[in-house]
Amino acid sequence: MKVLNPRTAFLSDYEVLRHLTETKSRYIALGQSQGTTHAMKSSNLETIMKEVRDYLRTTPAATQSEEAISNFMLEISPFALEKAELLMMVNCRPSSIAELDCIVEEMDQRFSEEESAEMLRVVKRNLPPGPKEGEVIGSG
Amino acid sequence: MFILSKFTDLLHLPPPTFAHPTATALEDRINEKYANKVVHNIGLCISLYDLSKVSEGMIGQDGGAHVNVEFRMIVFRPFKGEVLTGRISSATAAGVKVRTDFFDEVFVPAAGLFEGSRFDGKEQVWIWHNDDQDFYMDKNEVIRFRVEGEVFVDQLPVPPHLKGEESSLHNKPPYAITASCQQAGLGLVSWWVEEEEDGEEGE
Repeated sequence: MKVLNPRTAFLSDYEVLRHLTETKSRYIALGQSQGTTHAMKSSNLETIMKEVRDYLRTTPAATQSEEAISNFMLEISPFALEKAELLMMVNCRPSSIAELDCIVEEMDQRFSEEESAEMLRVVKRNLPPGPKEGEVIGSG
Repeated sequence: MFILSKFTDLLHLPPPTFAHPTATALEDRINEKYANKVVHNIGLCISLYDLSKVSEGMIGQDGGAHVNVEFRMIVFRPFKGEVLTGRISSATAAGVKVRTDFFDEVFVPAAGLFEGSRFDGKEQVWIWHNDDQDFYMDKNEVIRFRVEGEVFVDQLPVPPHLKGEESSLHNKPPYAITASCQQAGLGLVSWWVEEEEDGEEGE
């Protein structure tokens, strides 16, 4: 084994969740058309796929869509934010100034209070709130 | 939280897998070998993302094929400074242990907690004292933390002369994250939700 590039890209939680959901339904379809032995994958894969899906279903990624994220990226573009900050905004979907302040480094110096409030409004307008605690979206 | 890493590997496909399409057989082999495993200095591998390049197979001794493959993996490797959520799994005087469904090794040392936090040895819980109020960091509560550092431990085999002795190396997880909760907005998620309602009105 050789690592060619330790990090070719960042993935958002939504992309990972979508990839895992698609992979899982592909395996299920395979099992239905060719017999269950084809759907049985190695146990380490089944374990990690289930655990990551369980985790991501409790995060805002569960309620997001590609359209919502691209609209958000367009609307937030006037603000000079780092790529990592945008990624965290999509993944965490901050719902208060305090949360936004954790994500955006030195927010009080880089942005005025009004700008921060506007950023938060853009987040809330475009990204749906994450699932409530205990709520499960898209199980199965 | 997740990244794509590009690997290349020489994989062996035994003859029974010839019945499957090559891409499927390779996908299964790659996932079997990497899924839910930590690669040193890379992170925790989740699953195959896509295949980039596949060489012609070379026949091996058992009649199987050896194939050179280039592929991209989904890897769990939060960057320094990233804000994540997890659940408190335990607390000791040294700090708070946090886990997610798939990753257990997140540790918030006592020095990384809010100022004014103290450990209650009887209840085994950390309490943040703020504005004359006590905020309890109970087990299983959802906590938001910032990634501060990471430690990779190479899981080498134990040399024969050290076998029997409990080698400290093997008690250490291959990949662990240290974190902090020292800023408004971090700590238990339930501490900071009060503004959520007016957000929903605006939608």
